[in-house]
Amino acid sequence: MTEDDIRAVLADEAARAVPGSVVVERLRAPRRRRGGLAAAVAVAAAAAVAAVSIPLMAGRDAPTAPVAPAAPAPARNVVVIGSDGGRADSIMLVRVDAGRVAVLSLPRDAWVDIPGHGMGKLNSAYLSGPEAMVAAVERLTGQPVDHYAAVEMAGFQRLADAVGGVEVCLRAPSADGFSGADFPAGRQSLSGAAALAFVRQRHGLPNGDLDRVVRQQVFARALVDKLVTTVLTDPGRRAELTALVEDVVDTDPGWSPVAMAAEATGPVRVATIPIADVNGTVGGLAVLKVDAAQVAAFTAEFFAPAGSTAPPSGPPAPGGDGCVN
Amino acid sequence: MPDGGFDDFVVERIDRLLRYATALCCDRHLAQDIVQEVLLRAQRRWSRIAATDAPYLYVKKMVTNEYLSWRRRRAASDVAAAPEVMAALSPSVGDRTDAHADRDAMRALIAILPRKQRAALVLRYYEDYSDAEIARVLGCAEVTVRSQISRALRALRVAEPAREVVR
Repeated sequence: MTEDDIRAVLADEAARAVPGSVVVERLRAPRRRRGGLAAAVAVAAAAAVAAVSIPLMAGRDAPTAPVAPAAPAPARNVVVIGSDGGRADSIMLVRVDAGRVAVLSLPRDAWVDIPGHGMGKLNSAYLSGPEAMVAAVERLTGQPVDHYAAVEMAGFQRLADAVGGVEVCLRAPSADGFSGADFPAGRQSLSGAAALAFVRQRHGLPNGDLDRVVRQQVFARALVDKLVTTVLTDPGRRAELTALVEDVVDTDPGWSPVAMAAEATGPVRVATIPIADVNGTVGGLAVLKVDAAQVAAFTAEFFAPAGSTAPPSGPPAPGGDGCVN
Repeated sequence: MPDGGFDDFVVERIDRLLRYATALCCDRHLAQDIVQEVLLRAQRRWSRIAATDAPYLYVKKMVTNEYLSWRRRRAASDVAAAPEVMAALSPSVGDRTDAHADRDAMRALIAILPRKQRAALVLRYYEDYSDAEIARVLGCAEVTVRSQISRALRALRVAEPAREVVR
């Protein structure tokens, strides 16, 4: 280990600081009860991670599936892992049920039970391999997992290039030397390195990792949209993408996510598991405390078949225009 | 007007102070408490602080002292080894060792350093301060700063850099 590692670790730690506005507000109203402040912070965080289900694809015709399935495929749950040097930075549980896609983000700092390993941050499960991550996600969400798909940063970048541009929208310009992010405000089409930086950036965002989670959700939704509307309707590009996925995506043996992606028909719904305490610490480590029973109930409702129940309630994404921090 | 000066100071410096305190505490919530408490105190005697040649350094010194004494007041068991800390400290197995596993281990090691060593480390590697500047903030001799940092580096298993001319 080197002095640069110390610098990186300390910079990373410093970036977890609460936003200055929180303290400024408290200084200006010094008599405000602490609980009120904590509640305000919790609400702001909740708003940032709240379930959003903007029908991104509303208004466009249902895509014509390139290959009409003979029978509807059964519902499946897939753990999707984005990793950086073997460390899981982004974890999602994706359910595809009769063409409906639901993406549930599981923040990497969630403090969870990892079967066979005890309590730890969710992302640490991946250090023991994808199977351990699958077991941890099953334990946390109460959902059986059918497949996993893990992609390293370099692979993600190649995939984003192959897809050829995914449209996102930013509320404000943002830049960050750690991830190489440097984006103007507004709508923009991202591919390759820019797409990677977009889903990786955490430093310089008002809510750090939780903002990053929202970015990943927005990106996932736009990606599926792009796949089903253009890439996968072209047999040549579909074959190319299938080959690339085989090359850069680590999955359980004999399964490919491409066919499943092609099943998507409706708007992709996204949500984040409920966080009981965004400011938890364990032995000096900043963690997100979660209540497994609450998470399981939330997940069951979010994944429920269409029509059986309303989607989990929550404020819409701030702005309501699909734009993110 | 002293009060307006304080507001400007806060707006300008708050994020930097919070990041410094968070690196120091390894705990954003504790860092927030410390910075809030220090700023409330600084506000009451702002005219005196504003008259010093480096108000920011002064406040940072207050934050550092608050952190050092705060930790003293809290039970030492505060840094009890969490499973993740233990996992990060034990040698990793398998082929997933890499720069990130190293950094996780480094983070765990930093979190259990004695507070003064950690403060010296943060001032050196996060703030890029010289020995003399660190000595001013910690209120100790430069030779003490050097020994704190070298002990911290040993605990972190980082080779000491060749020392340049001491300022």
